[in-house]
Amino acid sequence: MRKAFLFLGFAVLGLFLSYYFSDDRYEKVDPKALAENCYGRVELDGRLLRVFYSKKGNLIGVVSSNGYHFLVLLNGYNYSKGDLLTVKGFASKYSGSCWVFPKQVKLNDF
Amino acid sequence: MIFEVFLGVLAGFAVGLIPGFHVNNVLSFLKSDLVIVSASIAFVFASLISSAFLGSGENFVVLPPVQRILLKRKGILVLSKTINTLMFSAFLLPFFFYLFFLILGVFSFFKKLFFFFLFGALIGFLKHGLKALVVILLSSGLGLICLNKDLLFPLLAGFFASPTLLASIFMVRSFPKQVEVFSKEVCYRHSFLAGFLSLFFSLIPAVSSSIVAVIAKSFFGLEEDDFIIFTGAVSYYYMVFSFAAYSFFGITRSGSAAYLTSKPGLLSLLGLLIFTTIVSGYLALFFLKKAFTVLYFFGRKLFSFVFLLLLFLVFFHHGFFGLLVFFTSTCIGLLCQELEVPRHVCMASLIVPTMLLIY
Repeated sequence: MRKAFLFLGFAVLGLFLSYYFSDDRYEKVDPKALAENCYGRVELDGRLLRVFYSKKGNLIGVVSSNGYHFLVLLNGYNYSKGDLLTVKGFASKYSGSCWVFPKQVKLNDF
Repeated sequence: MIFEVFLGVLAGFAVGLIPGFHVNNVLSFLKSDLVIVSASIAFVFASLISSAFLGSGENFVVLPPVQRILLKRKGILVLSKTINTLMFSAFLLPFFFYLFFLILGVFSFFKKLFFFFLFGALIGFLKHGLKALVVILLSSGLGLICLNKDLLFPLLAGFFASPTLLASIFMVRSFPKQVEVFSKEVCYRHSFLAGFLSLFFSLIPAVSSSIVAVIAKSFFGLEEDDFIIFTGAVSYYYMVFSFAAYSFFGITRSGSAAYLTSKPGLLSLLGLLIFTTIVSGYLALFFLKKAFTVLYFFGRKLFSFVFLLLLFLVFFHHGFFGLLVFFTSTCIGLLCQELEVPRHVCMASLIVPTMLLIY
């Protein structure tokens, strides 16, 4: 039982440290590399080509960067066609397209 | 083409024979779809052998069924029966693929039930009492911290690979030499049952093959031998169905399917899977005795090497934070062993975040 308490103590300590050091770091990626290997926490700059509602009522944007297109879930955001955006979020392949599920979307107006 | 298939089989076999290693760790090095599919199938066969040696010894509080079989000296007998059953399962693939296609057609209906399935799995874990609740809380907390951070490798390696590797490195006494009798028997019942259950459970996120085996054990009362054969068959079906899901609808259910660059055609996929299964099966039978001998003599050194390799890979891919997650999940895995809680309870680390995402 002593060993169990030791492991429990280390597990709780590890959990606390993991929570403390877990930051929201997003890696700025090359659009070509992202299109080929659509996975991970990424930061992407691009222009909003189109905004539409899916059948389930989600607001989806098509963001183009260096000729590559990515789908971004834009629920709660109010951007329109032609806006230059910086999207930080988690990229993942779904139904044959590369999606970015954003943590943060900012207007890139400089 | 044949060269690529054989290359994949050899690669999958080599990776599978390293205890605690997964084919997902090397997928990025395999450039062709043919190599990825054949390596993944060969891995299922080879990992049957290597996983038997993980954690074998007498200092385990709860011995997993494979190790109990080893202590009874029936390792070669039961594993050869498992390999035969998996080879037979390959011939059921056209039938199961047809059913799988029908089920995927009504996938959206099942999706609505996922939350309740996962909730049911959590409640099922609680049958192990308050100790299981502690493990569920710790592992789901870590799972939530790792959510969307691409840290599955250190998380799962810590829960499942490293505690058994550590136990194997520090084991008190090794298992006895196995009786060298091969079985030609095929367990038709387990092959069918594993196929039917995998049809549904392979679609539910965070439900691993070991959880399916535990569910089947509670409902169908599987004995030690049956449990090993059944778990092997479920792992096999999980892998082939992940390729089928990608082929039919582009849905990725495993790391291997996610690495495919193009959707394989149904007939060519079926042919490749059946061919690879037969080749891998015969290779596994051929190597079974030899692998047992090698792992028997070099086991402890090999486990130490794999543990260090895991540490290096975690640090190389995920840095210090990955190491921290690996350390924490290893502690939770070791806590499971001490509390006599089955380690599949650690799957709460994936189940709880998935439930929250669905909700």
